[in-house]
Amino acid sequence: MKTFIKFIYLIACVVLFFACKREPLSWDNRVVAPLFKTKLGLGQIDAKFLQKTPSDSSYKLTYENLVYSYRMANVRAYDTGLTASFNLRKLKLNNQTIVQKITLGQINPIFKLLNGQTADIPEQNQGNLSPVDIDASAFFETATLDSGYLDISITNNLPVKVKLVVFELTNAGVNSQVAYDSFTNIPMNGKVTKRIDLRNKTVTKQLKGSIKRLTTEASNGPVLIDADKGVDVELTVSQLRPRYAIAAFPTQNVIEQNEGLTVYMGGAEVKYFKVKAGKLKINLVSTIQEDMTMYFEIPSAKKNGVVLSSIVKLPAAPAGGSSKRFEDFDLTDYIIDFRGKNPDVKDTVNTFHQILIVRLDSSGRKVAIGLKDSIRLEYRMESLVPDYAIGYMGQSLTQTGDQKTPFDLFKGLNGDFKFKDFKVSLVVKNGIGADGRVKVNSLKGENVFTKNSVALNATPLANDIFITSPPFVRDAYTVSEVVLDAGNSNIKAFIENLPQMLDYNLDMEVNPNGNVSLYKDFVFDNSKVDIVLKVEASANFSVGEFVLRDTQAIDLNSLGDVSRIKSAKMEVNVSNTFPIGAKLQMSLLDAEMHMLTQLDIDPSDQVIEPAVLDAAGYPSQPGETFFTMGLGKDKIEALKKAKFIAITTTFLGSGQMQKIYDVSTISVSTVVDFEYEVKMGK
Amino acid sequence: MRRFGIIGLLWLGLPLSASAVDEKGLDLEPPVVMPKPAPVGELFRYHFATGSNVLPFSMTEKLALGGYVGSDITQEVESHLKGNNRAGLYQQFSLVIYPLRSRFDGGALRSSSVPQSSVSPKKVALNAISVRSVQSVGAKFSDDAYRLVFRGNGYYRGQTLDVGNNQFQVLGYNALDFRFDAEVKFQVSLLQATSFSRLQTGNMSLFTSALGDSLAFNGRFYSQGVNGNPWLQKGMGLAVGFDKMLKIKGLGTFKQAGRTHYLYLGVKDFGFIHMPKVAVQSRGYVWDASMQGLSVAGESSTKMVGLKQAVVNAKELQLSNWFGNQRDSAISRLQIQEQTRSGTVLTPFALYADLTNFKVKGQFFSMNVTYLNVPGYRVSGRLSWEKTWMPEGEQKWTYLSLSPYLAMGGFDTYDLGCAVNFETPIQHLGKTFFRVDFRGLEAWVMPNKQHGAGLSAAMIFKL
Repeated sequence: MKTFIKFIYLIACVVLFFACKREPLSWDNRVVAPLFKTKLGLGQIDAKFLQKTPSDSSYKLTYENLVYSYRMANVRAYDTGLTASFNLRKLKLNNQTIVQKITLGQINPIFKLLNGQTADIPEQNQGNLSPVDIDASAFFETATLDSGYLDISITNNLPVKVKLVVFELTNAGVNSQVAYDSFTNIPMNGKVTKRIDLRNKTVTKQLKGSIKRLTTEASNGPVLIDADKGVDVELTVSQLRPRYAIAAFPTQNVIEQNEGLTVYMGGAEVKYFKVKAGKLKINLVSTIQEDMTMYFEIPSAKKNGVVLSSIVKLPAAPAGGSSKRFEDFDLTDYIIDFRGKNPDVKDTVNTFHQILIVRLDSSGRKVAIGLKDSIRLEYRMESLVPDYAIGYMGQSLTQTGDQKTPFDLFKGLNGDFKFKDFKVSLVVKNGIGADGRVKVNSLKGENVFTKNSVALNATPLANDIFITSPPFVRDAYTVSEVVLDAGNSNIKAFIENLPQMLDYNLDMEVNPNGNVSLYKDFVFDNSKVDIVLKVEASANFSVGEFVLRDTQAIDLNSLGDVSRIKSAKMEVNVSNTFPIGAKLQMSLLDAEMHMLTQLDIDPSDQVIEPAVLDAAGYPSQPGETFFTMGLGKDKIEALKKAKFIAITTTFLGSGQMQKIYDVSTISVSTVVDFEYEVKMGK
Repeated sequence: MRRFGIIGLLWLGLPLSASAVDEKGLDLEPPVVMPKPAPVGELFRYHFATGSNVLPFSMTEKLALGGYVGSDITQEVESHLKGNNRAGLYQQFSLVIYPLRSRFDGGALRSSSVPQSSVSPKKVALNAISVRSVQSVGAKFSDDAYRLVFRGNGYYRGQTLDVGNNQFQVLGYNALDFRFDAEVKFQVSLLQATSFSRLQTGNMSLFTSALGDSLAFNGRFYSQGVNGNPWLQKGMGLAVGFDKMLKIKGLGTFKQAGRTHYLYLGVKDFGFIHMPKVAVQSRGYVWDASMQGLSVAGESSTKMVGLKQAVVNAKELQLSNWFGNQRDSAISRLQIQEQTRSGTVLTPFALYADLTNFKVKGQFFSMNVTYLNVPGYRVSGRLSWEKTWMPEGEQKWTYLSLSPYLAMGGFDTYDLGCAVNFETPIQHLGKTFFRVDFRGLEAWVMPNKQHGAGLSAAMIFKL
């Protein structure tokens, strides 16, 4: 057994030996491959920055740096609309009349026996005659009334004078009293009417009319007895305002508006407004079991000469439910006249004319409507953004306080750089259709490398810069320019400090003198006031030594797995026809911008040679340079962590004034040479 | 330590298993040296052989064991390239799993003189079951292929590397062997592929300009592999093997004495492995549309593909996608065809003939000829001298022999080697036979200078 265990142990060791993972076979391989070539020239720079000077093909630099931009924030139409809710109290029922006859035979059956005969009719005094059914279904099925009137008219068709009729009207079935009144001294063929107030009364379609007492005089002699004649009871309902009713509602307007609606414009007084974007939202919700029709019109809003109007249909709500209709109308490109309902009569601002009618379309069906039923209407203009607005934009003063903005002309630059001649202006470009003024309280230029700040002292900036309104054309603007030169400022020192940041403090006021344009101010959606520092210089400068710094993000993932790279270098061929040379320094930075290592440039003091110039300073031959830059084996680890590359270019000039011509370019071609570890198998 | 850790028996030098044993036992004619006591059953055996006609052992051993090959070595090899270059590796480990336990269950020990198998020649009996792992690597390559792969085009600016036609193959598998006794001992093996890669090139060339600013590539190639597949989906197969011992009377000085020589003939692992999903990338070759078969159906014309510097402007330079676009553009112009095919590959079978007990001038010699079906392997011949010692008196060992030899061919050009055989009785195991064989002693001593070496070990006793 012991031997067996020893053998099992031996076998296990052997199996484990063969199960052990082995490192893969690997060796180094060196690869050379073409990388990229590029050609850089000033002609690739946007022409608005660099223009060619036709006389000698040199360049003129024009650079504008935005210092501050002002937009009118107060012209916008706040959401406006109306919300209305209508319930039963605002509905009405039709006036209706029914007639019920009570005959002589019904008054006293004896007269039926004497029908057609001529006889004296003695004085009659009858009480509690049998009630007569009266069908009031023409009015409604049933209604509980908030208000209304019932006119009872008694017409005497008897051959005698009626001295007294006491009449009672009740709801059949429940036997509740609707009306009870006395009518006296009704002559033959005469009519007496009494008005009954139906407030808080419930009336059903089946009524009973009862003559509680009928007293007549005796006839003057024998008269023809016609048992079919008697008294006519005429019931007329009017001005009914039901609290609850089952009735056929007549067609009627439940909402009717024709008026001006005022919109808040944030302080501006607007006469005309063209809509760039916005909607008219209509929400109609009804619990009434009848169809509705909504008609709206905004006579103030026109597009291509056509007024905004529409008809919206809302079907009847189901019993116990509601009917809804939501409509959006796009107001884009509509021009809205905000001068009011009738500007010829009263010319106002911020007010538009609107007409709104909601009509109940009667189907003739009897439908149930109670106090809980309602028609709710929401009618709103939303998210109105002007394409332009015309009116008076109000008076506003904006004070920036101390602010900073980058000045990109010298971004990354530092060193000895002098322009031969240059011109600097503070330019105010006004695209807002109103007068204004700008006051520069302070302007400083800061060089972030030397930490040196130079405050601009300029006589013209001690006063306000007045700006005028441009013509009413989109993107048009007026320009107010203040030229700064050595005679009126310290602009030379300001520029030659090579600032990368501007510190400014200025005031901007619109309509400082009020409504002088008489409501002829305007503003487009993109109108603004830009304050720009403009530098113009010929590309004729002297360079001693100045440094341009730039940091670029790098993404090495596209290269594949960089962990197996053992060394890498880029061979660079440069052909330079610019009149200045340069030295390069490149460093790899990690994600936190900490330096990892510098690329090795070989030769280490290699200068990109400038072009060979002729006597006129024109490049006659390119300067050719070859060098390598890369990472040796000891530095290749840095490549794996690198997220940024910092490039420092030190330009080396002769110190003499030099012009840049349009033929100057720099061509760069590169080849990569790297060693990496090949791994085979696992 | 790894190289020298195992003691065993050289598989390729000896026939298959117990069938190598003289079934009749000892030769009774004194003072003839007793023939090797035939091993009756192996517990395990390990075999490793690598070689090349140009690559030093310090490189080829890393094919099996892994590791880093320094640039000094790859540079040194370049000066010794021979035009038609070869290299290869064969590694095998086997372990018997049945009927091992019978040795330890108190069953009767069998005498070594009793043939392990008493099966009638007309019956077939299962002798043993073993598990085995095989790795084979073979390569035939041109000088410029070596330069491109192991050095890189960075050293050959302004030159065209005529990579030409090359072949490279890796094949590994596990096997479950069933060994049978019959009139002829044979073995049936179930195979499961563990790795397969194959690369072939045709008329390939790469030109690098002197400035390195342009490359031009042309040629055909294909690569095949299953390494991305799950373990059980790489391939399955079947192989057979057999060996037979023939007695030949009277060669050499034995002729008059009527001595007997023993000739062992055999085939090992002759079979195939079917791979259902083989990833194939190719250029310039035509394949059968049925997606079956791993051999090409023909060749198609190819165009030169050039790579020059990407022309970019200043803005594009800051973006990194120009590099990826350049690379993708070059790859797309290569028009590499990708497909998945199924097919069958032959196993790295071996054919061998072994003549032993050959006496010349009073010394015993043996000869062996072997062929292995791996790219880069040439027929190997070996001549061994054998010196045997028997113990005098009571000793703990019963047999010791030394077999130095000279071998030619194989993966290599030549090898000097020596095999040591040692037998000793071990309690409960009976007579146990150990063999270790160092092939390519010159490469073990000078790995950076000499090519090819091998190591074999085995342990055999009655199962």
